[in-house]
Order: sequence, then structure tokens, then C-alpha cells
Amino acid sequence: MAAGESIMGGAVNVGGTGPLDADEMRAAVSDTGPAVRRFLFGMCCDWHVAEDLAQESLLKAWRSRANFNRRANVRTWVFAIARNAWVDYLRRKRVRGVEETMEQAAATISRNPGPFALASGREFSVQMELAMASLPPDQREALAMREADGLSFTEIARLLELPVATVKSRVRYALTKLARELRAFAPEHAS
Amino acid sequence: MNCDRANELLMDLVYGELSEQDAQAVEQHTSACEKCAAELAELRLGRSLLARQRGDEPAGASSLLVIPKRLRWRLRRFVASSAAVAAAIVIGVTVWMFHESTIPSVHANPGKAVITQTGVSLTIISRPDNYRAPRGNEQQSNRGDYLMARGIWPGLALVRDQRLVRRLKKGVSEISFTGVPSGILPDTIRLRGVDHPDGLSILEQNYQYDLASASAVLKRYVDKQITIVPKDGGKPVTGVLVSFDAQTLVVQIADGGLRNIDRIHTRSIGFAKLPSGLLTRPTLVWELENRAARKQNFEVAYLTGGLNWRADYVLKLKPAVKPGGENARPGIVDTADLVGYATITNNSGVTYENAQLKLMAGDVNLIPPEISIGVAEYYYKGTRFEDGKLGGRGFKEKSFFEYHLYTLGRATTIANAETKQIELLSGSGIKLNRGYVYDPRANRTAVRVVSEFKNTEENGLGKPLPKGIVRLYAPDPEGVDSYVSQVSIDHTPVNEKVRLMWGHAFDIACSSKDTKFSRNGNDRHQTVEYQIRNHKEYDVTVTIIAHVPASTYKAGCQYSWHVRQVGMIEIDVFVRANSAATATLSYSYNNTSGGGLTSPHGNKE
Repeated sequence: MAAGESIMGGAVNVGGTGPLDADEMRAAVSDTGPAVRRFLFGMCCDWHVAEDLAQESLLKAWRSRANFNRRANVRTWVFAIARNAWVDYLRRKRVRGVEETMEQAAATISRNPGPFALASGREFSVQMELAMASLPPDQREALAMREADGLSFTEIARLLELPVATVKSRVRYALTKLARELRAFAPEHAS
Repeated sequence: MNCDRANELLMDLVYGELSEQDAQAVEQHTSACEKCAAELAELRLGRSLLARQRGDEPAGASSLLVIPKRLRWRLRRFVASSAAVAAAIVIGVTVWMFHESTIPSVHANPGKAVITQTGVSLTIISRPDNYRAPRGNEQQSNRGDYLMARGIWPGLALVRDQRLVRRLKKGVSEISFTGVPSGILPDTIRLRGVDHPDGLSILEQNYQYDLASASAVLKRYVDKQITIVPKDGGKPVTGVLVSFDAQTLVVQIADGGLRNIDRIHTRSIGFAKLPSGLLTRPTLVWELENRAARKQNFEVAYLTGGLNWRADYVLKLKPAVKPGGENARPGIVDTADLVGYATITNNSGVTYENAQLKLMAGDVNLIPPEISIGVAEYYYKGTRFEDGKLGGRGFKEKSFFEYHLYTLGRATTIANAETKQIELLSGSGIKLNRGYVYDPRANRTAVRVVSEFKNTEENGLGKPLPKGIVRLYAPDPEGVDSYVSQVSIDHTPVNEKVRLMWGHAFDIACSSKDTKFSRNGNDRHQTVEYQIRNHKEYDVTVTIIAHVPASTYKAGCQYSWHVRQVGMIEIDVFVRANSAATATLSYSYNNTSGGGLTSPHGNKE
């Protein structure tokens, strides 16, 4: 995959000073859409939620475009907004979670796969979501960001304010863990 | 290149962040070094798994066309603030949508049907009077049946759930709906295609509720390995589960020993993975043959337990400003405002978002533990899904067969485990006749306060009142509305009288005693004295209910009286403020030839 191109590509973050004009900004923000949505999907495993939050993030980015400074690039900036949107979403969910019935709370399997996995009824999706849910949050976040195909390791490191090596090792642990847990679904096993 | 250096660069290689030269160098190393090659393969496998998971990504444009409701509202608000900016956003979103749709969806699974919920309508039925706990020991398949069998009214609602299925294959395919309540009555589920009902046949319908509960999971792990962590912090035990019940787990330990493990002393039981075939929420699965379009609207209708409603009323009383005086003779007339609320509880296990809400009042006939399918079909016909015809904010009342149906004029979200109150009806300036009733048989020393009003339009109401609880609020001396009392009312049609018994009057004391008795052959003569002491600041009229033998043929009293029914005389006694009155009732009865007592001045209404 030619990820490097899409990361650095586009006339989004090169040259110029001062705020971007509306056209540039609109293009930049909406270009980020698919990647942001993929990042959010990586966090929640639910396309509906990811879509909602992605749109919310894009809108927020668009509305607060005056606050954008050129120290970051637009992608990193929108990702940071999306990350906040995700945290807010979790917070909202937690407040609502209080009203969970006892039965739900007592269920032995607490990590319910999302509606998508259930709708498709496929073992793979269910297992995948369970495996994702079992990743430590910081690993999962780094993985989702890198897999979103929008940010390079360096950009993620800048966004998370971490050394690049740390980001890489987080993603690496996460990938290795997924691979080991879901080895049964590897193509060579399927055949 | 050595292993250490190659290892450092593996991640960059996997994510394509290496220059061509470096990439080649690393690849060269891995082709020679087995250990690094294995690591690289593992990382690539991880990525391919993630890509496969994303493969279910809904085809870009179609799913992005739907702007979430929440956002639509925001957009609207935004449009109001600045049309130009809004236009820019719409363009922005469109650009994105276009962008999305141009990405070839490599992983898209063309055979997979995509299901979205387009609308839901709820008709919640009030608790029927004739509801009885069913007898017998029927197998209960779900929570609804279970509660019914216990004699607890589980609530009952008809749900119409509309879903759009896209990419529906021609021929036989399977579709499954989640978001189904756990209290669903499986016998009542009906699926129909809305657009092309003829082009569709339903081959099979399954309701899968084998949820991943503790025992369902355990059942799947019989003959498989589990790990048991004891409560006392001892060593975890790993072994093959042989059998289990509510108290004990029988486990074959790895070294060959068989052990009974008390579940009380077990902190947790570890399983390898969620066994396949178990669902974490109830699912409806249909196998159907499609001969028509790829995109179809479906409507599923079913009855479910767990949804309940009742009416709650608040009656704000404005007591007559100057009660008593000469006006007190016909009685005290208060005015009041009545507001009725529908209190809706949802314990169905599912949240209904933006649902059309209908409430049905009346006593539904039930054939427990299952509701007859005929009845269910009747509801299906009687309640329609109303497309965009809703209007207004409150409930609209319509009669439906022998019941009354209240339809909410807007969509509402009823979350699971939520109690919601919505205004049902209201009336103002209702005139209530306040009366005081003294019935020595019910209470020898106290007087009951009764309010009566006519449920008519002239009286500011004239709406059918579903059964419920009325809470009375009246202003205290500071003029603040305070809670006074509560009573329940039955289903009350229009033009009927509503009688509310509020409890006892503090300031009116009563007593009664038999003062004289004589007999002459079969004739018996009796005198009773009723004393009423009014400590109020105003005059009141107290109605005494005197119970006399059915064979009474003659009666007399210094106050006006009338016969309410055989064996019951009502005497209206007017008592001045801060004074007392004594009513003396004399009557004669004859067990062989008596009876036939009539009111001296005709019957009162």
C-alpha cells in the first residue's frame, strides 16, 4: 500500500502562512474524512458510530477552522479533534451506562461485539472485536491511528506527544497480539 | 544488515514508510533470517486481519448519505445562523461523500445484505383489569413469559419495526435483525415486505435467544477446558468441565482427578473464547426467497413484554374562596385544573429511538401465558404505521374498537430501563362538588371528604380518562401548592361522573349511638342519634349514611333524608361553623310484613 503518498500528499500542509482560505480548508477537512472514520472504526468497531463521530469531528473542525494554526498539519489537527470526540463519546456512554440493567452488568461476557459483527453473524468479526477490545487502550489507539491510513508514525508521535519509537512499539505489540489470537483466520489456515 | 537493524525497520516496512533502498535491504535480510521473517509475517498477518475486518465497511456513499439525526438538527440550526456557511458544509460533506464513493471498495462483500432501521412504532397497552397469573408450569422461553407466569404484569406492547435491507440477493438468503427485546413473544412475530410483498416468500423464521448468559456459555464448555479461580486466592484450577449445575462444577483435572468445585467458592471461571453460535443479544433470523428488488423495506411486527404505561394525574385544586354561608346548602364547589401524564416504563432490553408512540387504554383480553395470535393480528390491523402524518406535540386521542388510543404527535426516544412521562391530556376550570360523608360502618368517628365532578366538555374536560392515580395538590396557607392526597380512578368515559375519595376531614368529628329500642309483636322501633361537630371556620353539609334493616317501613328525621337503596338512608345535615348538630333518626321495621320504605320528598340524584 502506498501509504506514504497519501500521508504527505495533497496541497494541504505545505507553504503559506496565516489561516487557510475556505476552499483549501474545506478540501483539507473533507479529505481527512475517510481516514478519520477508519480511525474511529478502529476504536469502536462499529461503522455507524464511527460515521457519526467522524461527521461530528469534521463539522467541529470546520467550525473551529479559525483556531487552526499551521504548526500542525490539517490531518493531525482533525485527528486530534476526532480523538477528543471519541473521548467525549465514551464519557457520554459511561453516563448512560449507569442505567444498564443488572442482568447486563452481570453478564460474564462484558465485551459485546458491536451490531455489525452480530448482523453479519460472522465468527471472524466477533473474534476480531473481542481481540481488539482486549488490547490495552494506548496500543489500540496507536494501532487505529496508524491503520486509518492518514498519519505517519511521526505524525502520530507528535499528536500523542510520545517518542516515535514508543508509537511504533505500541502498534507492533498490537499487531502481534492480533496475529497470534486470530491465527486460525489466517489465509493459509483457511485453505 | 544485521537482525537488530532490520528489526528496527520492520514496522516502517510493514506500513510502507521506508525508502525503496531500505525496504530492499530489509527484505533481503528477512529472506535469509528465519526469525525476522517470522516476525514480518506476523505483522503482515495482523494488518491483513485488520483489512479484512474493515472489509465489512458499508459502501462509502450509501452510508454517508445518511446524516445522523443529531447532526441534521445541528445542520438545521446552522442553516438558520448562516446560509452561506451551511452551504459550504453541505458542499464539504458532498465532496467527502464523492471522495468516499470513488475509493474502490476492495474488501466489500457483495453478497452481504445491509440493514438499516428506518422507523419504529410502539403501541403500549395498559394493564388489563382481568389480568390473572396463569396456572400451570409451562416452559418459559423468555423473560416476558417468565414474568407472566409469575403473575407480574410484564407490560405489553405491539412494536412495528421498519428496516431497509439493501443488497438483498435474488433467490434464497438469510437476514437477521438485532435490536429485538428480550421480552418478545415469539409466536406473534410477523415479517412482511412493504414494497413488493408478492415478490417475497418467507421460508423460515427463527428467534434466537440463546444468549451468552453464564449457564449458556457453561453449557457450551462441557467437555472443554476451563480455568477456575477460587475466591480464597488459591491457585487457579484448570481442567475439563464434565458437568455443572447451579451449585457445583464437576471438573476433570489435568492430572486425572475428578473434582467437585463449589460455585460459591469460585471467584471466576475462565473460558478460552466466546463459543460460536451464541449471541450476545436476541436476534431474529429469516430465511427468505426474494424474487423482486435488491433494496426492500421490511416491517416486522411483534408483541413484547417489558413495556408498560399508566396514567398519572395531577389535580390542582383551587378551593372555593368563601366556602360555606348560605351557599353551603347545596354543597361546596371547588375548581381545579387536571393534567394527565402517561408514565412509560421500558424494561424490554432495547432502546427505541425516534419511535412513534401510541398508548392504548382499556382492558385487553389476554389468554395467558401466550396472547392469542388472533388478538395479535387484530392489533396489527388496528394500528397503522403512520408515515409523516404525525403532527403537534402532545397526544391525540382516538377510539379504537372498545379501547382508546392515544397517539403522540411527535417521535420520541424511549431508552431501555427508562421511565418517561409525557403529557396525555389536560383540563382546566373543572368544577368539583365537595362533599363530606359520614358512614359509621366505615369509620365511627371521622368524616370522609369526597369530590365529584362530571367528565364533560362544559365542565372543562370531556376526555376519556384512562385508569390511573390522581394526586391532589392544594394551596397551603402560604399559597404554595402542596401535595394533599392520592386516589386511583378507573377508566372513565366522557359524560360519566368521577368520584374521588380524599381521606378524612380533620376538623369534623362525629359519633353515633342507638338511643331507644322497643318492640311490639313483630314491629320493632329504633332511634339512632348522630352527632356532628364542625370545628371549621365555615358551614358544611355532611351526608350521613344510615344503615337500616331491609324490612324498614317507616322512618323519620328532623333533617331532610332520602332512601339511597334498600337498607340505606342518606341524611343531609347542615352544620354551622364552630357548632354541632345532632340528627335523630327513628325507624320501624317488621321482619314479617315490613319493607317498602320510600323517600319523603322523592329520590335525590
